[in-house]
Amino acid sequence: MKKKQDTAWPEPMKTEPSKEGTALRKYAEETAETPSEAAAYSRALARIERPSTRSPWLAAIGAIALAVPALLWLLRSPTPPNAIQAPSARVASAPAPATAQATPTEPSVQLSTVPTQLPTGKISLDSGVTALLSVETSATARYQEGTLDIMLDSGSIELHVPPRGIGQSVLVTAGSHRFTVVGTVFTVSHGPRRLDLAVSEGLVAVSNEGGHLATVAAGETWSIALPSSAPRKFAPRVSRGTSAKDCTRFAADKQLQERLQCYREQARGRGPDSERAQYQLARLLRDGPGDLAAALSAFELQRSRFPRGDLKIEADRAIIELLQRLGRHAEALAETQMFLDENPDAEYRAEIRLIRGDIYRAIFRDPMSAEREYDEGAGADGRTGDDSRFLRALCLEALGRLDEALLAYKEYLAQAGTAHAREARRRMEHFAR
Amino acid sequence: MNILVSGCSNRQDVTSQTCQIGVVRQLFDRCVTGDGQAWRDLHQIYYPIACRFLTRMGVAGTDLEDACQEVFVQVFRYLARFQHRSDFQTWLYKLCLSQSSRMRRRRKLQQALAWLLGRASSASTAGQDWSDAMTGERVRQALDQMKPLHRQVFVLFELEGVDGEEIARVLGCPATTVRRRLHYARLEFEQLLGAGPAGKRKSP
Repeated sequence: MKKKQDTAWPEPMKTEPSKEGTALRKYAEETAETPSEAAAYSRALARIERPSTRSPWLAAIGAIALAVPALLWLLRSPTPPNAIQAPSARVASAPAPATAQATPTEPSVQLSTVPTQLPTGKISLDSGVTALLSVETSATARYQEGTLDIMLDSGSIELHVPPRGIGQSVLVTAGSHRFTVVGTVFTVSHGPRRLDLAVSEGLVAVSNEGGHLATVAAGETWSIALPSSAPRKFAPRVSRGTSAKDCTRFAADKQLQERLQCYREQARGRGPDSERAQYQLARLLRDGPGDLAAALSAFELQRSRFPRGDLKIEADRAIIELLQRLGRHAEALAETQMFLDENPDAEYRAEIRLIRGDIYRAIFRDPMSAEREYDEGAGADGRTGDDSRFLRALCLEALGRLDEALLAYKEYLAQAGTAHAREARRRMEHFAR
Repeated sequence: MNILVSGCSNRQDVTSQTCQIGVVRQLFDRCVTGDGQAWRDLHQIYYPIACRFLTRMGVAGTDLEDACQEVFVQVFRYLARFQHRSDFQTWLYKLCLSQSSRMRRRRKLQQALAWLLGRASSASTAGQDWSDAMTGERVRQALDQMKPLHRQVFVLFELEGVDGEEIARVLGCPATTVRRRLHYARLEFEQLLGAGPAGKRKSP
């Protein structure tokens, strides 16, 4: 039970006639003026329309980091750089050393001017483009005049496109609609009746024979109903008679593959049922065979396909947990920061703060950052709040802030039913000695 | 000035308690449905609040405009997800705090790189004789030297006039934590301002 505070809050300093009060009043007056707003509004709107800018310092470091492997590659190249192939020749499939998205373990697909059928799963394409094709997706790709042209016949494809030079665009064609990108992360799903686009980063322009239709920014989705007579080469087989509940008829231990396949089939469409199926699929991969990397990919796919879905927060939490279990702590920290920024009111914030505190404390040996995180989560009820309060005191002790640590232990012990009371008392006795 | 929101004739009315919450809620609903004028009104009402708070949190110069822009870009993107479980201004303060923390980290990195490149500023205010005209600058420097967590509570309580319970909601911590931080923040501020021995003020 929490200690009840009934003491009134003090009067603000600036209302007092003291020296500090006068100084604060003067400062408050000086800072009350704000810049003009009309221009700021226009600039904010313009900002929404363009991808986020990076710090020039980071860009400089990145440029240096990219230049070194590029230089080494050029020095090792048997042919001079000017002799590299004409557009009609086959494009080197190996990703350029500069690309962050393409990991060496992903199969790469060699493209030419002739359309090549793309395999499902995660693949790397020309110049750092990474594609994630869901099961039974049918798509072809070719490279022509600087443009990577992907034809999506059916299914869903998620693309990670690093920023590209002038004249080097990526074009996704689904039926009569075209999606042009410069540098972005997005998913196109071509269903039997609908065409959906979800953009995670950057901007995507949508057009058809009639010209420009829409510009879709990060966090936004765009959909269109397709006429039933739209010609399709590969119709996706969505089993309409199967509901999410039916997949549980396959026992998770003995008929795992059947159950996974059932969820995969259900997850192919759009809407809440598909999202739920994708979520169940990811959970099953995590809890059944324990394939954490595959589960992580499945949760990431769920999040990119259903960016505003009901289970988005659940996917976020699962991704954070999996990154931790996979030992990718820096990514887990980045992911938690993103979660906190995006969900200022989420009920899991204290839990996330506790996870961040644990990473800082146990992995990065940074008690100062850990204390900050625990302090943020200390207001929560239950075990999360209990752990946060105790671990905060522990961090203060590690930082040598003994008075504050003692106060924190006392406050902790003042609450009933605490889980670490014994340890807290032992540490306080240690202080007394 | 144009009428900002029907029922609220000026900016003061909109942000004060006298303007019904439902009217402001109506503005948000219009924003979510993509009403351009509603967005403009929202920006006009809350931009000065965000900008002033960020200034007091130590974001200055060209960073200030960037930070304000970034806050409103986030508002534009995520207002649809805002569930009105807390006051909008509370959420705005949260976004501003995240942004000011990011700016502070960036500034530290820039300072470290400037130091590495031998471009560190040698300007120092140590021993500077403060005149009355410099009082504001003196407060600013004292705030800059405060611990970030203390500064957050201090600025919200002392300068923004946000009450303690609301600060607890902004920071997502218990009111006792806010009370403790405010106590230490006041002591720290007094010390930094050179106003005599710490502890002369009654503990909150």
